[in-house]
Amino acid sequence: MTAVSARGTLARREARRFYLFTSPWTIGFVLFSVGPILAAVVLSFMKWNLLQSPTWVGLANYERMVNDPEFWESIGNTVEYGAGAVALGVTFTFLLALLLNQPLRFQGLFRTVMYLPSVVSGLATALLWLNILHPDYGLINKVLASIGIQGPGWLASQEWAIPGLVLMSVWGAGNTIVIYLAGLQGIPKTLYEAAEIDGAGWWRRFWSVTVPMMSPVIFFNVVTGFIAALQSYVLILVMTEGGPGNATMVLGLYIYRHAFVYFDMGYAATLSWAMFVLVIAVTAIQFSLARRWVHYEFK
Amino acid sequence: MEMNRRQMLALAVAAAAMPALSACGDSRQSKQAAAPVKSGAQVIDPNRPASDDWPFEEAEQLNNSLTWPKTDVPDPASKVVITLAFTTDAVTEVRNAQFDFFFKKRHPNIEIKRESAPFDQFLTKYMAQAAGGTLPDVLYNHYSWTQNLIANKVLQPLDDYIAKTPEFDMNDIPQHGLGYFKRDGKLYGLPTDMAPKLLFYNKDLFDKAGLKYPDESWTWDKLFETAKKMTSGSGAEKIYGVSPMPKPAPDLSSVYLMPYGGRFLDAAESKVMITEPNARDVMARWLDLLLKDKAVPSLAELQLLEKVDPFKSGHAALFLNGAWVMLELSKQKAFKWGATQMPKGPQGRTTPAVGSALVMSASSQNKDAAFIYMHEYLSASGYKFRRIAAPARQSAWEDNAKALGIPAEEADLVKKIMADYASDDGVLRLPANKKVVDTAVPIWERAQLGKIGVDDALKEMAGKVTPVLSENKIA
Repeated sequence: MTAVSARGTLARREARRFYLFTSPWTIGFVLFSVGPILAAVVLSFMKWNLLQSPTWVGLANYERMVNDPEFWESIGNTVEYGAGAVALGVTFTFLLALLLNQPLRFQGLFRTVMYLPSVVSGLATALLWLNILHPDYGLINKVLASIGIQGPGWLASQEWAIPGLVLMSVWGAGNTIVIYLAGLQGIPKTLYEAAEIDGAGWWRRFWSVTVPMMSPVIFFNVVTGFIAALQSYVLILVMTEGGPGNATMVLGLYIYRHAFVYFDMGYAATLSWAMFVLVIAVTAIQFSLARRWVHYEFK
Repeated sequence: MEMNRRQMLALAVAAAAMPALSACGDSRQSKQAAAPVKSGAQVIDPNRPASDDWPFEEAEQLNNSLTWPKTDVPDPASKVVITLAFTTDAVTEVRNAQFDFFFKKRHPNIEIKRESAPFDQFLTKYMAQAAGGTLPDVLYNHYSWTQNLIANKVLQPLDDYIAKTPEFDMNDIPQHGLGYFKRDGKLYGLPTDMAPKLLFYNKDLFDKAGLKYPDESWTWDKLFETAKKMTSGSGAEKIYGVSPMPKPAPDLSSVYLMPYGGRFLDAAESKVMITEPNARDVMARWLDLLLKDKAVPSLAELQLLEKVDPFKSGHAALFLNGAWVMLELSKQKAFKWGATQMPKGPQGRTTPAVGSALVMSASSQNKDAAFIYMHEYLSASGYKFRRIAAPARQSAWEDNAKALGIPAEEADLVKKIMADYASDDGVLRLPANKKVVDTAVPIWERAQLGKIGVDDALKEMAGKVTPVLSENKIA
């Protein structure tokens, strides 16, 4: 056997193994993602209540969506929640990661404690935050009252319900902290040493070394955080069911309601496409802005 | 090909965005949190089903003491399996298993496969199964679901089976509470429970206030006046005069509006009537009771109290709720309570008769066996065996109330109300009922928050609900 044919056999064997090992994901992706995606395309042009055969309605669902005030209200709520959750979440978790990256005693314990909320079940989180945000008996308003501030109605107030949910969204951001910590530990110490030799103080080192070096990680967390926030609805369903007065009716919850409460599958599929467009649009904007502030490698 | 970090990031983002597209197919994440029942993952010995609550010996003794009704519907000649889909809690599942155990002894050719799903997931699960043509033979139905299933020809009418069952005794079931399960003169469901709403009161709070207990002479005016008097305190010490605040729920008309001659929707559920003076004035009065008198729990207060009802926790003097809560009230010792008829209005006294049902799927391959099961399960003996707190069969009330510790006078009161005036009239049941409620509630919540006046709220409600009602047209 020549060396060339041996390499060919090895390459084929490696290729076979590659496809074999990736096949569980590929099969799952085709069946459970590509399938529903294609179905959602077709369903968005149909009327289907699960009990009768689907009927073709052309663009009627899209026309209905454009003229549906609750849809636009849900888009507004979704963007408000997404922007708030990402802004607060990314900032807060970054600061927390900076603290957890310090060489302290019990560092492992602190990191574990900060990660713990991520493994708490959704129901427990919802009940906990219902209590924390309660206008009369909640922890936040009690603290505010102790310094003479009358807290808002949070989830019982149309104006404060989304901010309340945004506060809750920071809970359980352990995964983001882990990503930040990995990023922070990847910054070469030589850069800090060089900055120190140049006379940089802690703020200059943070602003001119840490932030630029972490910018791809921050960007990743912003993008994926936004995508997750734009799709989130489960805790909102449990906590407010979209109320009060539709103030927390986010698009994901609106889709859920049409699909699995009203069984209006065609319209729900149309709304799902709207969510996809929203996610793509927001992500595209983020990528276009990223050129101004995200630094890759040592460019 | 090696990707640089930017390309890798783009790929990761694209992969993360994919679920948005499949949201329609993937978004069945249930509100398991709020599910009122458990899925019943406990292990029940099929040869001797029992628990601390339901000892086997007691079940066997009770089963033997009861007379099980007959039907001319023939037992299957060979073994058949029927599938039952209920929504029950873990405790009740044991009793159901005991029922099945003895049922199989009476009908050796009928095997039972039982499924259970939490209430909040039940309809979604079985609508999906209906789409796949795999509905169980017999399934639970909330009163607000059945008309949609009938309209879509998913259910089997039961009249022919009832006709073959001389002992069925239809008169034992309140006829004016069957409207949810009827269409074009045919009956598609047999109620699993049925009860009216009552006016409950906390005797301790009335004694403390030195006021007389509510009684049959009470009018709604008297209720409003007393609710204001009984309201006291603040924060954790607050006592509400009355609970709950009315909202555009399926029984809004029957409980709150019809005594004044008002309605939320007309009887055909094709027209919004809540802006008309009789209904409008009632809604305005309740809004005043909430916003001015603070005598009803607000949205904020209800949020925390969702799991701890104000009345059940001793924080409300008056309580408008179904007779089914008597079981829970009877078990608690924190305060003394009583119940009486709903107050009278200028147009008399009304209360809804509501309950769930068992239905048979039209696609069932074992309809005879399915009916035999339904018949026995929902017979007076079946109700007595299962110790249901609000049996639809009125002849089971007395025995069950006694067994469950519900005071005899309260049980008699319920029977009297069911016989006299409890009715399905005014209770929303047509296919759009859930959408109607979901459309109207957010508007009413804004009124409850004081963001919008009652007239504007009701007008907006009428404007938004009216187009939804077209979905109630059944071919």
